[in-house]
Amino acid sequence: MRFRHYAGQPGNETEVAGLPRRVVVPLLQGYGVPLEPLVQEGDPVCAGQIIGREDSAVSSPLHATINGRVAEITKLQFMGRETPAVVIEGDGTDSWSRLDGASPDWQGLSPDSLADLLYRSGVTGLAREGIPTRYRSAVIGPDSVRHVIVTQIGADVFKPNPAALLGDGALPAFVTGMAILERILPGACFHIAVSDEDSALIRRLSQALAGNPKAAVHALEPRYPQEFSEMLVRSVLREDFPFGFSAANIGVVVMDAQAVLAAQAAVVEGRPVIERVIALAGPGFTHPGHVRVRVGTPIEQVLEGQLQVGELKQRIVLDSILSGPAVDDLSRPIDRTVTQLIALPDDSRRLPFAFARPGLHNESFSRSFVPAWLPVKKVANTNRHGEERPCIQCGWCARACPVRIIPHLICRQGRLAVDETLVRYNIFNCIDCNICSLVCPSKIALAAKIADAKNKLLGVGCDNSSCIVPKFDLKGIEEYKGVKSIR
Amino acid sequence: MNNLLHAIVARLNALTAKGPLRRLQPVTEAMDEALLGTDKTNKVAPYLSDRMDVKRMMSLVIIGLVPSALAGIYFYGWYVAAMIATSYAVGGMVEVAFAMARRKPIHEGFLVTGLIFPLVLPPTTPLWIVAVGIFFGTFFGKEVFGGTGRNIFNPALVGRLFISLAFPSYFATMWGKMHWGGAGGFVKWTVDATTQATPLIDFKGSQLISTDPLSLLVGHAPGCVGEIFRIGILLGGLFVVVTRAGDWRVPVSYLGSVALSALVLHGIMPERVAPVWFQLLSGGLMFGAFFMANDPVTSPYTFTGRWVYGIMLGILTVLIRALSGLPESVMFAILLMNAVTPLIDSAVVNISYRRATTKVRRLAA
Repeated sequence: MRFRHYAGQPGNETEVAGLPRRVVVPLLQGYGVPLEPLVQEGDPVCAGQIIGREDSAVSSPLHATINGRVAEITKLQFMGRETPAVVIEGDGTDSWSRLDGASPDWQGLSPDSLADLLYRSGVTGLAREGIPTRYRSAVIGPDSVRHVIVTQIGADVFKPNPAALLGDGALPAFVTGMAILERILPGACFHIAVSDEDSALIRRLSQALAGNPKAAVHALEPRYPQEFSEMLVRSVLREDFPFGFSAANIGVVVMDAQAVLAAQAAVVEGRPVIERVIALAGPGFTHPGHVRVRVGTPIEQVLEGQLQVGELKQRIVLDSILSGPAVDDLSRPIDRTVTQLIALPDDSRRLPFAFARPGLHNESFSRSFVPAWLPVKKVANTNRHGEERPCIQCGWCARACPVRIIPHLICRQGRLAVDETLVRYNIFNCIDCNICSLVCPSKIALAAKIADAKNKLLGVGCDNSSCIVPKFDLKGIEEYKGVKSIR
Repeated sequence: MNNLLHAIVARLNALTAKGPLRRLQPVTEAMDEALLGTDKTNKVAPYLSDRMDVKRMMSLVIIGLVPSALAGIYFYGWYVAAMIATSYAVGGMVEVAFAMARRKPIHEGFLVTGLIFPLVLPPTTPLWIVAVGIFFGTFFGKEVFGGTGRNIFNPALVGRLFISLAFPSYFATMWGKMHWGGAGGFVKWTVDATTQATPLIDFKGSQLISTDPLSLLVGHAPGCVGEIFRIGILLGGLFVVVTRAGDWRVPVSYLGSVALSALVLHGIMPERVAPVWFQLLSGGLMFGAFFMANDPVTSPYTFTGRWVYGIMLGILTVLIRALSGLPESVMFAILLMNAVTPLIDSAVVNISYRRATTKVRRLAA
């Protein structure tokens, strides 16, 4: 589905947030395993100092993000598991320590020292499954990488404004970042995927990368879930995807533009990943825009003074209102993979005769509402817009499904028995994009039921690897087993 | 206005919250939901929901049926409205009774069934027969299978089949002389129950076509209440398909297949098979293709299956019309294909998913 005309899209300006007094740095960020802290309570730390590093497991180092003192080392429920976290009380100073060996004259550096810089700066943790280096920063090695896909499509309902990150001033840095990545991943082709609606960005990127034979700009239709690795591999590389495995297993690294910019900042300016530009999007914000915050800032501090005040509570969702998790505990810190915070009114107001209204501002797969015919602004909220009913096999879920499975068939079969039949119905092709639950007019939680059945099947050791493994040349599967993807 | 609604609904809810009226809870619940909308919000991803719900889906189909129903009243008088009211009342009662017995919410499907059923009856059917038919259709056609979403046969057609077998005389003779011109039936109660044959009966009897395409399109030829005003059916059907309340594949494949098989068979035996335009525009074909064959519950859910279903429907319709003693065949064709719908679906699913796995196995070997 293609989501357009939503009110509350962030503008192109980026504010710099004030320095937080206190940050919480969970020792699990980006791709990899949780790390052991290298500091103790009471230690003085400075922004950019490495406080967690483990070279023997798949991970990237983590840094203190403000100057100050370690107040405590605690455990935190983070990304669905208990994670050690370092709490730092800031002293209010704004400086940060530069990485050793970084130099504006980066072209004189060897690929090894470039990779070392990227690893120490934490940039290697920014790609969805890590950027491979000679360290164990990803499940595959740098020689296995065939393609790098940089995505800035914005196929979701709310999306960061590409102009905020890739404005005129940022393009040279972006080009340099690409060149650095090319040096450390010599066997890879580079693909930049952008929305086909943004012709200005396409033109500027094509001009900037004109002299680069290994890089190509792809204009893709921003149709959700285009930004999922599974879809990108299909539409950019025109290759089959080993569903149930990850893009890294077929030698594809997926990252966003911010990771490329961070690579340039790390190598040229010596700046470790201690900041993140996040978009504040959704009708719940008074001024949707972007804000540059220190990693570890509690979400409530980012939201301070930004939310609409009214009778409705706002639901805060990370990254995507379709597939992202909601944030119930607002003291959760921003980590370095967050790209946006979305505030959605938790609209439990009842709408008399809701079924008979023209639905002036609502999304629908049906064409019976006004927005299907006129370009009116749509407003997102969390209302269900209907009662749950039995499935009438209208087939909308199958029509909307990007991987061509039949969600209602799987759910019906799954109610009888969770067994190999579901595997035959390609349940493991499901990429958890949740579009089936969204379109269902009977309001059945199809996606949640499918995810449940998948977990049950995996729990009894039933997966589709016997179908997938012979078809593909998969890399790093042995290591992959121990590591849980964060997305 | 809002407050008044809330007050009324709250009063109704309080009335059935406890005490002897507790059994009526599904009724007040349904009113509550329909009048005020939902207050439920998404607690897990996706946090956005489609604005469409089953109530609206059914409403869209009803809007698609409105031209046919209005035309029915225009041609046959206000008695048609009485038929519709009877059908709704009895069908609604069966639905409510089952909802109460099952302690489940009332499902909106009967709103469409209750309107479609009188539209496929002859215009002078006595009201008690309408009542018997819709009762049989909802009871044995839907509820005994487990209610909305689980029925195998289209409930309206089950009801029509029952009364056409139990009271055949009404289907043979009672076509009545329709009103035409001016205010038409809008100022009349009913039609004279004179015997008049439908174009299909004429063709069966004499191999002569007693009408022309334009009369069939605007409805100037006798037939069941809802099936005669074919421009209205086309517009309504188009509305349903464009708003995605119904799938486009079934009507397209059904009508296309009728046209093709009529073309071929008319060439082979022109005395038995009517020409293409007459096949397409006569009888209940238009109405059946857009509003009955296209019922999502009783038609295949696989897209390939929908094509197969539509094509087989078309062939069956033309064959039954030509070779059996019956002049009209849409009802039988649809009921027959309803019965094989699960078979079509499981065949399509088995074939398409087996193909995927054998390919992998071959690669592995």
